[in-house]
Amino acid sequence: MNRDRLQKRSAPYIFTAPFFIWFSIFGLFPVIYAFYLSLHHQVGLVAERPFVGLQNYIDLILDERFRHSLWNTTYYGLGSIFVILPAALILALILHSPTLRMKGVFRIAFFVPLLTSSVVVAVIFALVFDTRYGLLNNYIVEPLGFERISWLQDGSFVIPALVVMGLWKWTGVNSLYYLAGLQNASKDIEEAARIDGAGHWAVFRYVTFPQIQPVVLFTVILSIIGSYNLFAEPYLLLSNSGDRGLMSMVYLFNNAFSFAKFTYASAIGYILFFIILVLSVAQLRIFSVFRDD
Amino acid sequence: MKQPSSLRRRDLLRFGAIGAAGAATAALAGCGETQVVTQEVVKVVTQQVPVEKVVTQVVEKERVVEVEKPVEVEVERVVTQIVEKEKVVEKEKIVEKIVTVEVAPKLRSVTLTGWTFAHLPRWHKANGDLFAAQTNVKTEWVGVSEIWDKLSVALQTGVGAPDMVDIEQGPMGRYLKGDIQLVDLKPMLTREGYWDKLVTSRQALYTWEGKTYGVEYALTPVVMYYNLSLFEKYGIDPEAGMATWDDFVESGQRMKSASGGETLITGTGTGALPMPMEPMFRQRNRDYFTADGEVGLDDPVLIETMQWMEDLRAEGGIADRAEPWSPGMWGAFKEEHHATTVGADWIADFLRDNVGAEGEGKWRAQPLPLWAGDPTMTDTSCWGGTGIMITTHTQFVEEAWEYIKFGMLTVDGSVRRYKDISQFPAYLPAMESSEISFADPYYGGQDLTEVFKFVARRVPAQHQHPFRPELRDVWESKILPDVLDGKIGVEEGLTQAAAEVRDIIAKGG
Repeated sequence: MNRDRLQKRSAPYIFTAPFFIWFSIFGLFPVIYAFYLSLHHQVGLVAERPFVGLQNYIDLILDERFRHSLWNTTYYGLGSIFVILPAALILALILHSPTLRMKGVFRIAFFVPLLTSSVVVAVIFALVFDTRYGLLNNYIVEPLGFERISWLQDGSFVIPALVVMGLWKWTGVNSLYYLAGLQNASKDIEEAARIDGAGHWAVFRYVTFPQIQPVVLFTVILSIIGSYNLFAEPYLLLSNSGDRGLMSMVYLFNNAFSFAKFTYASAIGYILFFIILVLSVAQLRIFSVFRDD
Repeated sequence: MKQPSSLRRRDLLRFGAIGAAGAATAALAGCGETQVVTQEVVKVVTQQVPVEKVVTQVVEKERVVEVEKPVEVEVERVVTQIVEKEKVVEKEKIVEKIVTVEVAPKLRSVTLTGWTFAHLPRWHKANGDLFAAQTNVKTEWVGVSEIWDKLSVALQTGVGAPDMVDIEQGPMGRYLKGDIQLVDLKPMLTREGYWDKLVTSRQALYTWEGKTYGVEYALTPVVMYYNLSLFEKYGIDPEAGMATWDDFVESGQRMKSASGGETLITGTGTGALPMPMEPMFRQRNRDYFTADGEVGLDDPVLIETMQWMEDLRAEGGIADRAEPWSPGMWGAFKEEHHATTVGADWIADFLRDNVGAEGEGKWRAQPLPLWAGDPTMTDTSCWGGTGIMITTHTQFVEEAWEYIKFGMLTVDGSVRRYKDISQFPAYLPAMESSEISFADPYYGGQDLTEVFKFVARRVPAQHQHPFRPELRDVWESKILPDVLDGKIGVEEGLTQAAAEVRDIIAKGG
């Protein structure tokens, strides 16, 4: 093999090498090492670490609090999919309306929550949800004739409160995804449907929605991943809510950093990874992404 | 408040300091090379400390540095033995001046790193500058966000750990598991005579299996803060009306009745209780863990105290609950919905900052009401705390120890800390300084220091344990919500929590 040929063959590897080296050290190695940790038992920052096989996974299945945190997380995830995403789609349809003026301003405004630090969001929503002085109780709940709700203390309302906060934070950015989809949807087909007598709902249901389906799939998968990875907001906002607001990622964090049980926390991480993987693959199958045609 | 008239321990400490200073000054003068800056002090001291009452002993030759004008001389360190029944004139003034004449051992010219949090970087910057001016040791303290997590990683990996670190009592337990990566300071504290000068109950926070890993910043004496104007409005004498907890309940009933429920006697605690749990337990000398390291959650007195707190809200209706540290908590004070709060020294600033002008001049503090018929209780408690520690990853233990002594174990350092960050010192000699006493306009001219000093020696211990984070998690996060929701009773909840924690400990985590 002459020198030129060798250079040509090796060039792609050399140019992509920095990424793979970086990824291997900071991406791949931690993933593999976390699995290694999950097969051991260690309590303490510097302590003995005997091999225990799958014991951590067995303990987790039997761990009542982990199961509870999974339920809370799933509850929030369902809220994301069935409350936040539909709200984002409706918002996108409004923003897509030809009669709406100052669209640019609205788009920026709806994007701002995403740029806001989670700490700030938590502080703001502590004010919103305060039982005695909060915005929700004073301006919505009581005027409607209901009793004040302890949003962050009452077990029935803690996760819904988190969904309300998610609604504020994530609706805007998801609506922008949908808006991009709507703008790329074929106007000709929609117009043809209308000429054929289809109403607004029928056009949306049978013409527009199928065209933005890949975007919907994308947002649903992102929501699932985001829900199971949600950490900062519940950690900060629900610190006084106890297990009523215990999310899986917070439970992982507590085990790793509060209890110095990094091995157990690694096992939690892997279980969450598999849950997200299974749900994502299921979504892809439901939307027939793997279909050959 | 009535103070004991007999010779007190702090007086002895004062005499000790004077005696030491007197002897030290005499030794310095004998060398003939020292320029004593505060001539007045020397004069007073030599007059006041008779030579025959000072026992001297040569320990080692050391380098001496004075604060105001550094000089380097070879002197004999003087150790004094206190003789009781001495008479001292103008003792306050002398003690404060003498403390600035500190003797430092030969230290290496190094820069120490430290990690801290919250408002403490400011204090360390000022303290470090003063320390550097007297030694050849510099310090670089940084306020680290998510400090406990980063410290855990640094100690675990052995990479990037600081020489010193401030660790709050809450996360302390996690650092006591496995091979502890902190230096045991107890030998130094005892060898150099500091142990007896600290309110030692506070050191329990950083003590495990006989080793003490930190020096506490603050005494955190817990007292009763109350809105005097509300007590006056409803014709209740706060001292008599809160002499015992029974009186407190009676006052609460009167207040609720007279205000039509607009004003409740209290309602702000931790864990959504009307009062802070742990300080209330500790007032009765009960704690999550006992001094022997046993789980104390199911102690009958602790259960009784917990039940009493819950009944205040659930049955008595004289208290409610606001989410702790929430806008609602401060709002309730601003609107005069809540008349009192149980709090440590640091609450004084919290009230000032968060209640603001609405509370100006209205609030006062007094010792906690007493538990009638309970011989184990006292009139105060403790709440919170942060310790300064040295990591085993440092190469400069001696220098770090000198830094800790300079800031934490001197009157000067303790007074500066109290003035700067309002942390009432746990260092006994510092409590006698007149500089920490002042009339606080926010508290209607009351000198809160006098209240803290009055209860200081009775501040109970908070016992540390490697599994304290787990205990708090099981009790406060998992089981307490069910107790507060009425799903299970107080006794059942505490007993269940105690059993679960014992199980966790038995399994080793």
